[in-house]
Amino acid sequence: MLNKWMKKTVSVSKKNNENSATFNSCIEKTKQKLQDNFGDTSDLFIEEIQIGKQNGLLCCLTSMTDRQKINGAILTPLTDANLHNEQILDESTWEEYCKEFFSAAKHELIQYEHEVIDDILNGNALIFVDKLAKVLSIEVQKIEKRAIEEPSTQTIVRGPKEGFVEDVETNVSLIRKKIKNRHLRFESHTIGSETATKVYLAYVDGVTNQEILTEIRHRLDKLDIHALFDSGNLEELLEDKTFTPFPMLYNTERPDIIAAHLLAGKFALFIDGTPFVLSAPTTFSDFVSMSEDYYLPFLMGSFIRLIRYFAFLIALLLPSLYVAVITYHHEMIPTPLLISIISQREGIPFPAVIEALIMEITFEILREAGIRMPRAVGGTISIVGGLVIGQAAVEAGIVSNIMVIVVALTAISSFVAPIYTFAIATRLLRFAFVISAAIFGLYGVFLGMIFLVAHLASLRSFSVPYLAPIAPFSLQDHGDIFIRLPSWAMKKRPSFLRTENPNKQPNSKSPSPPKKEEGGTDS
Amino acid sequence: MYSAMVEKISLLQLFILIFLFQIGSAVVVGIAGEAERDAWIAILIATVIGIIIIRLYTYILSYQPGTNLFDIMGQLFGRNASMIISLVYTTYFFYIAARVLRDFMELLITDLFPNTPIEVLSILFMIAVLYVIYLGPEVLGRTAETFFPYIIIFLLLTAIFLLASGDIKMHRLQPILAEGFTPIHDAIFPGLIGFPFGEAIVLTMFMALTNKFQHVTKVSIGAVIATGLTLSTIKIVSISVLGTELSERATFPLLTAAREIAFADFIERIDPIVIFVMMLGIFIKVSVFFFGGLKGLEYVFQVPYRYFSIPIGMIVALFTILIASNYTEHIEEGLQFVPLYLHMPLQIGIPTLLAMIIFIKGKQKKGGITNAE
Amino acid sequence: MNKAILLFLCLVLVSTAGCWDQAELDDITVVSGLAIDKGKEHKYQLTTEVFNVTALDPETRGTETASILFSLEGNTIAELAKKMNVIATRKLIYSHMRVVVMSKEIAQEGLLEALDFFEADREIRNDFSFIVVENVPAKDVLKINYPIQQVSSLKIHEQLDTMVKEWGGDPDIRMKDFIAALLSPGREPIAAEVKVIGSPEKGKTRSNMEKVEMDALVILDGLAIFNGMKHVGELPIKHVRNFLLLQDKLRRTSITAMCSEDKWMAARITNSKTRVRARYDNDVPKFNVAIDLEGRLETIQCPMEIVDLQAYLDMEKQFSEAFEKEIEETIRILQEDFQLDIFGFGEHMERQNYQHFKEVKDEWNEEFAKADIDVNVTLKLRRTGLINDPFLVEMEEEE
Repeated sequence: MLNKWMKKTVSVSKKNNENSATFNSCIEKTKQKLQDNFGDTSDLFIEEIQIGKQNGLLCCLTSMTDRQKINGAILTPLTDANLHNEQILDESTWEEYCKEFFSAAKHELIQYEHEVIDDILNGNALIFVDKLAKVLSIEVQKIEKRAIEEPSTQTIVRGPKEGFVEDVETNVSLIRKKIKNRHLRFESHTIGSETATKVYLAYVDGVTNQEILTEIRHRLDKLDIHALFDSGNLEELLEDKTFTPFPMLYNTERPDIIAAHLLAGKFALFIDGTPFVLSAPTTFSDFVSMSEDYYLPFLMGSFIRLIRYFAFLIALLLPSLYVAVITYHHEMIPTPLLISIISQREGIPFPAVIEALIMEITFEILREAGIRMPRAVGGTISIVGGLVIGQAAVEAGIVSNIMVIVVALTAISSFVAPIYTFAIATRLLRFAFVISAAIFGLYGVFLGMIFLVAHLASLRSFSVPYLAPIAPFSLQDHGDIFIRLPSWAMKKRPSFLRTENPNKQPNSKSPSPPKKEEGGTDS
Repeated sequence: MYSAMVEKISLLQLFILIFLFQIGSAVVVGIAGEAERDAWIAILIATVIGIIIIRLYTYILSYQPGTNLFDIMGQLFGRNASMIISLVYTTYFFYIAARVLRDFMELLITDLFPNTPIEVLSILFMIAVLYVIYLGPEVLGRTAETFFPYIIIFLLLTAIFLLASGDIKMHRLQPILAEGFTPIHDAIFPGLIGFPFGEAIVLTMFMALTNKFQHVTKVSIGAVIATGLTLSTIKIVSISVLGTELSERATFPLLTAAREIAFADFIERIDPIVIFVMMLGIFIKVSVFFFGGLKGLEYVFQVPYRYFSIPIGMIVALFTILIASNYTEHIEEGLQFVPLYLHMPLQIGIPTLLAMIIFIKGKQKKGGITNAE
Repeated sequence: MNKAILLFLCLVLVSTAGCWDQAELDDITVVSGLAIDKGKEHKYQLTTEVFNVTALDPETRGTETASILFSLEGNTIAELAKKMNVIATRKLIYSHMRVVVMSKEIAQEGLLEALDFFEADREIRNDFSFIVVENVPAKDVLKINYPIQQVSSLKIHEQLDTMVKEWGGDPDIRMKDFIAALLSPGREPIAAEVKVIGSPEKGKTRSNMEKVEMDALVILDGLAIFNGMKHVGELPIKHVRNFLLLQDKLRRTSITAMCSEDKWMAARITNSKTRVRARYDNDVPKFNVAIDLEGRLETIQCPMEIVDLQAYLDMEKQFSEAFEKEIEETIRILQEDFQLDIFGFGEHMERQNYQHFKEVKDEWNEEFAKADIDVNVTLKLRRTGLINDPFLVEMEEEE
């Protein structure tokens, strides 16, 4: 993290400095040039050294490089080399020299100024030789990364527990380990004029639709953004439509989900510096399913998924339905329940809608506080929160018991959605629904539903309709939407992804014990 | 950008649109009242005529697949004449959109919001219609597709709950054909032909948008059959629950029937929910008519229809109230004036003329199987 | 973007003026039942019984009554229903009304036009009991306390409901059925009838609930028979079951039949099916009523070995005959004393012989009076209780 801030203060814009000046001058001038470029930043390390018989210059950023690696990869070979005392007067000798002594570490010879600056910023050590244009760049980055841990979001009971980390190379290797397929590709892009963040576009060649890939490449190239710290930054720039509360790219910390998405025919974007990896095209149903659905028995998996859809509806609609029914449609409530609700609301000073909004907002504040507050005081929030939202409020006669139940049920349901960005969409929409319910009762709620569905139907994620395969309907894909069929029955990839190879496992069969000889059925 | 601009609807969406369109207001206000106890038979017979009508429309469209009614009229009558006819159709479509909305508004005001100004409710409804139409016919198709299963499930559940609470008494349908075929004939001509079956004329706008025109005829006929069976079943349910007398006297028969639901001491008093399920059908119907009208304007003024959507939408919302000063007047117009002077010429007259011209042109081309099927 | 703003403005405009039909729960009072009497100065006197919610909530329950009555006079029920705030504080809502009580006086004078309001009003549903009260003003019925179900309307409603489920003592007539019968040429309407025993004056105080034997009670009395809209007479409660049976609406009942001199036996009927066949025979309407019953033996006072198959068949026959007699008695009363077809035989005729019915439909009641109705009951006893042979048999043997 610190490194990045450093880079930012240095404020060297890669694109602006794209000159093709070289460093074929004498050491002093080179040194001057470097100092001009970087100013007097304290972590710039420039030292004159001896290379063979020539004067040389070693340059790197101490904040980005690993001292031990410098010792091992540069200083030791250099001392060894100096024993030979060679003359390096032309480029070819220099090249051979490099091959001979520095081949232990990853290195290359570069010559242009912008390359030199980029490499220094990336944490390479550079060795300049007097009067030679070619500069030796050796990778000695300090790699500081978190160990692979269980993801903090999207936890599951059964299934792989590893999660992505901030280091993009580690993330890529996590996927590589899962998919041992030579068609898996990682395309490197650099995004952010000032952060120069590395972004990998991953896909399985021959599966992911070519048009979609062309489109994402096009969108990545088009990007003009100065800083990229998290996939969230990128998400907003790549969406088909920004004016929507729903996430148009899937994000996850879980390698198993990304691997499954890649194999289904989606592409993934790995962004350096964040454990959240994006995948697209994505649909509504992706956000309601979870990798665990596939690890549990299919009946259970289907049941849990249905529960999630139901919870989504509760989280979205329950407070508004409650407000609509008790302020407009009393006749819908059975008599005993109506009597009990009336007697509970007796003496509550607010209209039901205000009561609902107070409770919902209180809850939102509590939730936000619970996330942001320092861990050490975390225990307090549950106590205070419990008091505010619960018994005390009821006893003070500010809210009714039943409203507490409604809000609590809504809150619990809103935690069911596995993807955070999707869950927060319901939070926003819930308020809209409550207000429309307060003004027009159920008419408002149902009109809201029409608006919502029409909006969802108009969304597309990389040309794939967001509501697919519900609308446009496709029966074949329904085996993995509301319910999950056993994995042997899912022979095809989702058709709405328009994959290059629609068959996933065309020959899979139900695992029944063999009766007689296996009949040879081809796909 | 890409594909989003190509507004195509799938055959399934077309099927659902036709189905919901014709069910739409027919479940709100009763149909075939003249046939009393045998209304369901009248509906079944009218369905057969409905099939012929929709075949007529697809025949006209097959003159040049992919173009809508207005373009075809333009080609056959010349632009000037077709502009006038298009304007007539446009007005007709907007008027019917307003009528359909009025039907539902009356239901809403009567049963749920007796004190709310009808203007507010209708403007709000039209805003939703506007939004969907603004997003395009493709979105309308998908919205219909998304809601379709729920509408079917609710209709089924209504029937099941009525059955379970013992309200359905099949003997109320007897005696069958007690008065012979005269009442049935009265119900079909011109009432049932125009509404709901003939109104499918506006669906030609959507038929022209499908990606596989060669199957449109089959799909449309299938949808009309499904509609006929559903409407007939609904009629059977409402008569067998309410009896002939009440079913005829009730302003909104299905609603009155749904109010009878009392199942397991828990599912009762669900008529607001039934109303809002009906609302989805109305929504589709109004949107389709509205879109049809806008397409007409697009043809006449050669400006993309989206430009008209907001002003015309508000006008329709307003005319919903202005077309009749009270419910009786509204129904009177619907039973007397509209079928004879609007439905018949515009649903049957002009399309028949068009079909004949196309037929003759096809003959002239000698073995003219090129365009007409 | 401009369009979005425009849309938003429209929404704001619409919503700022909103909430016309909103009614917060603390602004409403739920009506539990209505009583309609003849007014002194106007046509009607309407009495509404409303829930007093605080007295019904276990947490806040005190000594106050569970329901309160308001009475007003006027010429239409519709107006009175909205005018109740002359007395009451909150908006009354009628959607949960359970009972409408009419005084006999009203019914006799045919002042049932008020029913139209119940049918057309959006709030009122068809799930309330519609009853006529025999001996007191309708208002008094709602006054009488009952400790288990403190709201009188709920008490009566539940009483009627349970009665129809357990024995068949309530005709199970809802308002819609009543109106349908009014309109149908082949049927005359009826309603349930209740009466008050004891003193209604004492019944309306809380002290009524403190007694073991209460001062006043509402009891079911039978059927009120109407000719058109006019109340013309009553039928005692034992006929109600027969009425239900002829409607094919009987769910369960218990019947008693004689097995020998002053010895009785009783059976519990758990299943019934009625078929009516209608035809015309020489201008005389003929009806064949076939009733299939299924049940179990509950008690028998005769010392009889009931494991014997023949004994079983005999018992079945005795029961069937007893039942037949009862039903025929009911039909006879209607044919001879009232000459009113409350059973809907005319509707059966309409369905099965429409052409002939059409000719006589205006004077169907006369036709009904001369109709030949043949009732045929088949009862099947499926099992007995937990004992095969009653102890009476053993005693007999010992003697």
